Amino acid sequence: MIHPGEETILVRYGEIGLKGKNRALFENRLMNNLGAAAPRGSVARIHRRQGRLYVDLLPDADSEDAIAHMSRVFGVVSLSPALVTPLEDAAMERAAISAAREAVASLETSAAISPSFKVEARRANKGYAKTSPEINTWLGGVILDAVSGLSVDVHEPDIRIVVEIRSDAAYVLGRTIRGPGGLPVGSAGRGLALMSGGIDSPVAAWQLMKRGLSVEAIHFHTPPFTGPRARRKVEELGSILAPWGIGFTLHMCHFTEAATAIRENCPRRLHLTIMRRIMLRQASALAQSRGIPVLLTGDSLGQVASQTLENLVATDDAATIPVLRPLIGLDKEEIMQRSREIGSYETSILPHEDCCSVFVPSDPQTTPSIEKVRSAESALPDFLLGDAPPRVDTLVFDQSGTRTT
Amino acid sequence: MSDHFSARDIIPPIYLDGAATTRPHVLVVEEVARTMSDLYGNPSSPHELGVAAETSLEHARKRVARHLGVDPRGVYFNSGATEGNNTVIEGVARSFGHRGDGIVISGVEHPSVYEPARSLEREGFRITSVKPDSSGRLDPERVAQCIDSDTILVSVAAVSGETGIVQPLIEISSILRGLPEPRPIFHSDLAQAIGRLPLNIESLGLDCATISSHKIQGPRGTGILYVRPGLHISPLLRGGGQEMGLRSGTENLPGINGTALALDLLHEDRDKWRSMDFRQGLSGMLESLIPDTLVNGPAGGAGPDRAAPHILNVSFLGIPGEVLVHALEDRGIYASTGAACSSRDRRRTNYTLTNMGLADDRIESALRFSWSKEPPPEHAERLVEELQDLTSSLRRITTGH
Repeated sequence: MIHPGEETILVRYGEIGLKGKNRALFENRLMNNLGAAAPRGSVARIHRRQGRLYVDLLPDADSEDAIAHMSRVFGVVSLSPALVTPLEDAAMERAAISAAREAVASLETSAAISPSFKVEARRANKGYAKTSPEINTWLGGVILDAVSGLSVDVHEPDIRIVVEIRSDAAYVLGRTIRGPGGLPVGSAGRGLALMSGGIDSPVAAWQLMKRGLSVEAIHFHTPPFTGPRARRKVEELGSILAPWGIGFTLHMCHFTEAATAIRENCPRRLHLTIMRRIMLRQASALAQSRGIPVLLTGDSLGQVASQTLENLVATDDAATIPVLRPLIGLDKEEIMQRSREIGSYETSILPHEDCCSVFVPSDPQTTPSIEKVRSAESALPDFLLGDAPPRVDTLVFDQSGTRTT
Repeated sequence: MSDHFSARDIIPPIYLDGAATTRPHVLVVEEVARTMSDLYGNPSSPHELGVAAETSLEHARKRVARHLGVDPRGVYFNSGATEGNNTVIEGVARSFGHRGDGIVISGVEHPSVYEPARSLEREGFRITSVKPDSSGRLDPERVAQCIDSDTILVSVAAVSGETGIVQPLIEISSILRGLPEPRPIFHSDLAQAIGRLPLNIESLGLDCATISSHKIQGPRGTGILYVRPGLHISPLLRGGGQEMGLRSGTENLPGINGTALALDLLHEDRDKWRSMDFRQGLSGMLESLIPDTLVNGPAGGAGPDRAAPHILNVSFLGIPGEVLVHALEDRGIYASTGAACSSRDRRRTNYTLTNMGLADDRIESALRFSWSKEPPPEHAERLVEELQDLTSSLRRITTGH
């Protein structure tokens, strides 16, 4: 149990509550992810109480830093830091004033001119001397006296100061920080993302992390047709996704031989389609060898020549497991906006190309037929058509984005 | 991490990007460290630590002046040629803008010359960029035609960092000397020329010259600006009035002493910095052993009046320059596609080659080999061997034959 005078963070979660008997599983996953996301040495313990989680901080922890990290954990709807005080008038008054001041400081500027507030007491400890209305009046008065510029509004206040009276302590909460929502990473299974260095694929990975998928990625590079800066850029994207994914695994696949074989053996206008088929085939094989049941890509319908419906059909034909495309119906502008929110945009637009123009025809076929593509592809050497997983270099990033292997 | 085994694991690398930067001389590194530890006083301080630093600073100024053959009162220390070029172009425009609005530069300048010039153009100055011939060399007559009575500055780099072309500074100088007073100010970016050519700033009639230490095995972030004593130009940085008011900011004494030592060492070894043999040998081997190879800029056999000894720009037609750079680095050889500061930006990479009027395929396939002191001939042999192998295998992929 946390001791009076210390700080805990109340975590509200939404959809998890809807999941019936799997609920404990989801809650446990969220508790694990919160623990992993919080800075090392900041959390004493995480526990569950009446549909909420409480993250008790160690006495020396930097609570702002812990909140900043935990507010990016998928599954979190919102967070509120809570002061835990003994059930003594003076201590509770101090906590109420300090919670009100923090809440005022965190308000949007528009509301900050003359903010209104109310106190909401919840008396779980029925033995406590004051009733809820008495507590509201008492602490409301204290705050009104101590914090200038505040007014009371019991119907639509800008600030709610919540005071929970428990058997051994009072919990005082003022400020609420929004989380990203969604489901805890790992609760929906695992997926392997095909990641270029572009804008879309990191957003696709993020989007499904948000729905609880634990995502790894495979990147195909073609040295010397791509250089060390293109490689560094993809590594950086992996590092940016790692805090969202509670760690991230990135597989670098050497694709020069494949790209060269396609160029030498297949009709030029089909190079792009066939290259993407080989990538899906190799990604399928890698995913299966790692027990991963789905692939994901950043395709958006019709955005580029390789994303016409015909090309998507022709490339999907080579995958041996399902391919999820979370961005399929989004416009480029929407994807870019999301990419900025995630923090991957600035890296994605660096000019280091992940595929050399040598391998991309200037006028790719936009309406290939599956039969033609299959027959053109059959000219390739067996190693590109079989189901052996490709050789990869695997990089692992921890939840802080630091590369560990 | 990878079981991919590459040449750089076993054979020492060959660094052929000396025009981008050079590895500091080991004695320079020691000199910088020694100055940092021992002479940490501020040369402006009144106490003896300040006096010791100031004494060392003025000693360095005299050594540098002797190597450059100039009056020490014209030597200003700064952060390098980019700062020097900016100071000269902006400073001359500010101090002499009342006299005229014309600035003449060459079409093969470094961005630190043409970018400040472009910025002045937006303020209303007339910038004339003199087109070079296909080797990158300026015709002095064309320069003369671009100068009129409103020209206040003529800026021509002695050596182009991309091709190694040497410009006819003596001829340009005599054209300027023939003009009536007040004559345009004559500036040359010597970043790629210092130590490479037997040049004399004063007898060339240069009013301003700029130098970066890191191109001559000196420390990064240090350089020299020469401004003829008596000529006053407006400073970029104002403050404590250091460097005779032209460059405020506490003097970088470690960098300055490193610079002075780098010039001493350059002078001792000048034959090796100026030898044309490696360039000529490499160029001959490349042209005779690798098909579809074209030298950009001065020919391999060009003499020191046309070619700097340390830069050779070559196109291996059909292979994007960047691809060959990566293929070479995988074999432990480091070259470049153009000016290192701008290689990452496609639109600017080939400013010089474009202004020389070269065809697109030649520009896209251009590689720059450059070095500091002359490397041993074996380096050229190994480079050519690797290139024979790589060009034939890469061309099979890129051109299909």
